[in-house]
Amino acid sequence: MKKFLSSGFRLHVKHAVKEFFFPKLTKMVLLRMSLVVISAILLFGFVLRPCFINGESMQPAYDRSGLVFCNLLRYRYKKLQRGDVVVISYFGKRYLLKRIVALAGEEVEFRNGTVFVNGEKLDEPYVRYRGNWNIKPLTVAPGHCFVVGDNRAQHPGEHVFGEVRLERIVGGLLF
Amino acid sequence: MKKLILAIGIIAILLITAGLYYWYATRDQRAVKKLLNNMIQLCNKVPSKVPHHGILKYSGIDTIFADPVRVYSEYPEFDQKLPRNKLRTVLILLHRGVVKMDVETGNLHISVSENRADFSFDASVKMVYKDRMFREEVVAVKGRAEKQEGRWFVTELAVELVVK
Repeated sequence: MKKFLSSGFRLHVKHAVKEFFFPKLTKMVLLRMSLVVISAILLFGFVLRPCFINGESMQPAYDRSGLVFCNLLRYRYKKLQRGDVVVISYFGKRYLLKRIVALAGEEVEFRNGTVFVNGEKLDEPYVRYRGNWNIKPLTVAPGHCFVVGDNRAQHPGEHVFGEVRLERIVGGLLF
Repeated sequence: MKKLILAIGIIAILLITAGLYYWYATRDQRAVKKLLNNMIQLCNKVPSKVPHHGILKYSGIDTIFADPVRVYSEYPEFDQKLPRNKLRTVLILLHRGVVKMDVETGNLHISVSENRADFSFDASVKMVYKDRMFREEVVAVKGRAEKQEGRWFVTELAVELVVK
């Protein structure tokens, strides 16, 4: 009896799994599948773009590899702010993940690895690896913002940072 | 049966007409695209052991750029109307400094209106210097091409680093 029940249960599970993964193609199943596909295309194409991190410029906040989601609607109704982590369209399907440290019209400067904006020291609790970068003061041009990664232990020559046009910013991170 | 053949015939004629119309309507766009491809090919440099290898290709500047061409750059020495000869010299000097230069493009947009076309694209410029040092720059290129005597020439060019 016990053996019979367990084999019956197994058959039931097997049937349920088969039904779930390979359902009969009825009108309703096709409609549901279409809805799932369309929703996925809309969600991941126009709202949350999946991006793979490849690089250590944002350590320790974001590891050198991993999957993140770019919220493409983040700055549709919200202004960019200093400290925001943004996704920048770089080349083709390559994007940059950087943090905004200065906005248009502000003067930014690096002194021994410390960022100064309009002459005032910027509090950056997210920076753990502070290098000794020295960059002369520059005023961010209109329509631009100044972005830099959190990992300042890298040599400035190996780190992509600087002024970026605002239209290059495609969104912010979901989390 | 006759009706079916007639319907197929009409559909075929409509498709061919639409195809021909599309081919005719986009001929300028294709010509500008080809012009930009030629410009990119001109910027590329392949390593060669033969001195002055490919020097003839610089004459291609005459078929790509108008004379002079207005260049917009953050470097004041280039931010001016450059005659073709000066442009050729700049390119030759640039190529002399590198062993290899590979330009890839993406995000190309061309909008044509009569005899004028505005274009924009992103370009990744990968350079290998003589000391084997590698460098990659990503630039945003914007410009204008104009039709002069039936041929397209680049008349304006603005090059800006994406992250500067």
